[in-house]
Amino acid sequence: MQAEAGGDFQTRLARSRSGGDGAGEFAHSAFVAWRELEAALAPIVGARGVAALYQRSLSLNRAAYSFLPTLAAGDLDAANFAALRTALALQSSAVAAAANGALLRTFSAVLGKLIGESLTAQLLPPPPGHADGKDARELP
Amino acid sequence: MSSGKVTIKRLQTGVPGLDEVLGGGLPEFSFNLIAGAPGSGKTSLAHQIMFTLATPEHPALYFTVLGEPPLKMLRYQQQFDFFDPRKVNQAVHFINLAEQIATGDLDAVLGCIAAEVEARSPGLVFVDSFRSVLLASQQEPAAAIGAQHFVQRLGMLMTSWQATTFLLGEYDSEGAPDPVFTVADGLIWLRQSVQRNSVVRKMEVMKMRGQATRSGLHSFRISAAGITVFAAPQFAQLASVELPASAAASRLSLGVAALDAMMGGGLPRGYSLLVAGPSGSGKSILAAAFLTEGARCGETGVIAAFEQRPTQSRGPALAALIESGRIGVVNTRAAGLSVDEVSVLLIAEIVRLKASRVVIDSLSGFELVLAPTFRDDFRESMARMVSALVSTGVSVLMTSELEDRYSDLRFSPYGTAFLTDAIVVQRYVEVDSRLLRVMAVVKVRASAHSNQLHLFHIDDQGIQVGAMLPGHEGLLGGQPSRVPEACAYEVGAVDAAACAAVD
Repeated sequence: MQAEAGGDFQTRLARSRSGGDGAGEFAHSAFVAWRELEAALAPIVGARGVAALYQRSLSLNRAAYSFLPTLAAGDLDAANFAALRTALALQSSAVAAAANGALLRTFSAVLGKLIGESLTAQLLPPPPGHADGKDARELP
Repeated sequence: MSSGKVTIKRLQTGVPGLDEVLGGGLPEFSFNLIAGAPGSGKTSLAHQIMFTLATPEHPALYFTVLGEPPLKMLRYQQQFDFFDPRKVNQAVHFINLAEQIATGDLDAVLGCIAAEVEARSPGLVFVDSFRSVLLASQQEPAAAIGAQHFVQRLGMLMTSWQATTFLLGEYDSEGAPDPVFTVADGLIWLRQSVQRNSVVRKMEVMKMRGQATRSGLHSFRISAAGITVFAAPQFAQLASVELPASAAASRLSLGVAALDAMMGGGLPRGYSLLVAGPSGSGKSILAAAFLTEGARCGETGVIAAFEQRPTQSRGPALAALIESGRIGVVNTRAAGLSVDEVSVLLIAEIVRLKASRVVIDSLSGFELVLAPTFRDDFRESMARMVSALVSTGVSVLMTSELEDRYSDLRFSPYGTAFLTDAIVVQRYVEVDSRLLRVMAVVKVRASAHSNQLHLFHIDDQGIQVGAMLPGHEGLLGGQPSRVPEACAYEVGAVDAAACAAVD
């Protein structure tokens, strides 16, 4: 079950890298990719664990992408990917793809800092741009 | 012909010392509780067992509830050597039950566990922290089933699915009745003993159905390698190490020929010897001579060194043997040290080197490095340790610091003299305004030995035993007086008239 989800996840990530066909379509594929990431990770670290990591990733990227959603009531119990979809859909495809790519890399890097790259690789598919390790170095 | 009785397979846990305490390993399909206060090592113990035993064919399910957040648990547990990230999602599956438990509906929690167990057919199941499950249900008055019912159903479910199960729970003391205590097949209690500035971890297997466990509290240590349990040595096992046929009759040289003669021909092989004397009298030098003489005869040895400056008291010959690996050293000063831990370390070195001679230098230093909680039982623990060591077939020499008191004659400050088979005592005496050393053999069990007090001195070659102090009496009073006529005996063959068979 997880292997299938991982395969879909890879596809969604590839789309998010390329920017997809249009901002709305891309926003939706990004939303689905995040939901798949949550489905893979939440059974292990809990929905609140995923939400906390997601909020941290948003916070770290908000300086570069000010349109990323801010924390709302209930967001600490479960990640609100719908707000991200809405925010991405309002941007151009290129900007939305760049923001979402950065967000995914940051999420993976934050998780990697907590539980190590090896275990992160076991739990998540490799994020876009992971090989250069850039995001891990950018973290405080 | 088979009796038709079920044979319970015992799983090797991968936790050094634990299988011995459990009585041979963990019974397969057993339903166990690991209990203890927060920080006592429950999660680490569970992870070590899990990563040892889990395979893709017989995976482990680790249910996390409301205890340690899973992210933190994964972060810290992977610091241990046993944590293999490659096993995660392959042989080890972590499943968070926080959402299910938040409802307080134990039926729903049980249903979730059952569904995962059915989907993955695990060989091992862990619920951490199980106490959180029960506490959450108490906050939900409308819970469909009670805690005891839940535990019974869970136990039945896991046994039926042939999963060896561990419930982890925070319990401060075993006094309060808890339904899980009754239902569980095994109950492993982890404790932290705090005395003065010392914290010692202890484990007790209070219950393990179907097998005899090693009773009592066993100290354990958590290091980067994981948990190591220091099970108190069991004599029945150790006694199986047999001496060579001629060994019982053979004697070992102590490396000081004159002292060998005083002992009736050396130390009988397999004996324990206590060398007691005041500071600077030459105990460590005699201990070093004992080991170097063994090496000269092709034997290996082990020294447990607890002196403040062990390298200075060993001498170049012993230092070279240690350097070459022919003499092993147990030199731990780790906090919370127990006699049983040193016993385990010593026996491991004895087995590794196939050693025949062991030195503990000194009991005084040993007591100082022990955690305060173990000092009260020092005498009993030493009795167990000496018995365990000699049961392996080695000969043991222990030194003991003995304050010179001229009003009474003592051989050990701990009352440990009776533990050993032989005793050599060293004393200072004042003669003609000089501080001289004398030495005597007090006891060699079941053997004739000299009863003479001999002068000795120490030079570059080691201990040199001289003659008796002629024309004096009252040597053990510290200030001997001259007598009109005296008879000095030469050291050599044991004079039957001057010998006493003891015991």
